[in-house]
Amino acid sequence: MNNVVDQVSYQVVYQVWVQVRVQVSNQVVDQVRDQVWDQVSEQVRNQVVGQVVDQVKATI
Amino acid sequence: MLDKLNEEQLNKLDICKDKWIEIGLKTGPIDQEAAVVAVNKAYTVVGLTPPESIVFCSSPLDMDEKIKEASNGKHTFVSSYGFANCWVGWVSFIDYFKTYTDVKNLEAFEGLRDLAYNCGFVSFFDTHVFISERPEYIKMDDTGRTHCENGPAIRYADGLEVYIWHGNRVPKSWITEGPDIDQALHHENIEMRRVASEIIGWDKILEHYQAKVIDEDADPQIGTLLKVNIPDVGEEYFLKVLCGTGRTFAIPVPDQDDEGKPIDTALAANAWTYGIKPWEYKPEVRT
Repeated sequence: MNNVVDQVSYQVVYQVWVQVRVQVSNQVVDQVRDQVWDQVSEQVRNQVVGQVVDQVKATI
Repeated sequence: MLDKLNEEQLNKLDICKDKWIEIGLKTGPIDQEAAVVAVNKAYTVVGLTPPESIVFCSSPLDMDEKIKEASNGKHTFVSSYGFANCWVGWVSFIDYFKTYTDVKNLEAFEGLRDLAYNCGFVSFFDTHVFISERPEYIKMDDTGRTHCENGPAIRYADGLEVYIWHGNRVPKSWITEGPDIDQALHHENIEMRRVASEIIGWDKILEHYQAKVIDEDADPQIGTLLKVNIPDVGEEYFLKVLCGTGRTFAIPVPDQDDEGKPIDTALAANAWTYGIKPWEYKPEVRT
């Protein structure tokens, strides 16, 4: 990233950032990545909570 | 110093954007041989020793399991750092300068670019790299939001599924069985209440909460203006209207227009949906 900033004006960085990076992120990252990530996090969280509950049940 | 993009470089902005959106939304099996080459390149171009082990996983959920096993429970995917096609926004930005300009010293980026091109999610560790398959499919609506009204919008071959309604992740049961009206409208998240109401259909919600008629136009295509008291939300206005295809639907409308004038007739509400005034409304506008 530093190599880009050192060789490119702020205006051009901004232009490419907005017209390429932001649009690609909106279409792909903000949707597919975040939704898959959230789904996996939720399932992992539920699994961990389930294990804790099982252990508590087994202990009492 | 690159101060300004020339005509040809300006034309490449959209091409680069479209290329990386296509890569980011790629589905189907990854090329494992190409992925191994990309991983080794990503490590060596920045002076690191390539990993001892590259573990292929059927989905990000499977990746979480495999990371947990390999680290004796110390790490999980959701707590480690992910890369590859989930970071294509950043990759597309660097790739633009590498491909379409004379900006130099971007070789270190090539390994990550190739990873993004060839893999799904990736998690890096000192000695191990975990690579997930891409989804089997990704479904979207007309506006490009992830969406499927009768099944998962994103599905991996090993069964990991994500249920999504016009860009909003929802419980599986909302898609497969439909949300329960009372439960849906008491959801703690107001945005999720709106989503549930859309899935159920506003006309059913209005019937359930015994909406009151404010104004009924003789023309069913202009419709009926209704007021309903939704729990925890308050009074909301809806235009119930017959569309050209013969289907009746209800649209939420404000109680006043952009100039603060009250919307108290079905005609005014219908005109508002087109961004025009009641006296400008002509039935032939509907197509």
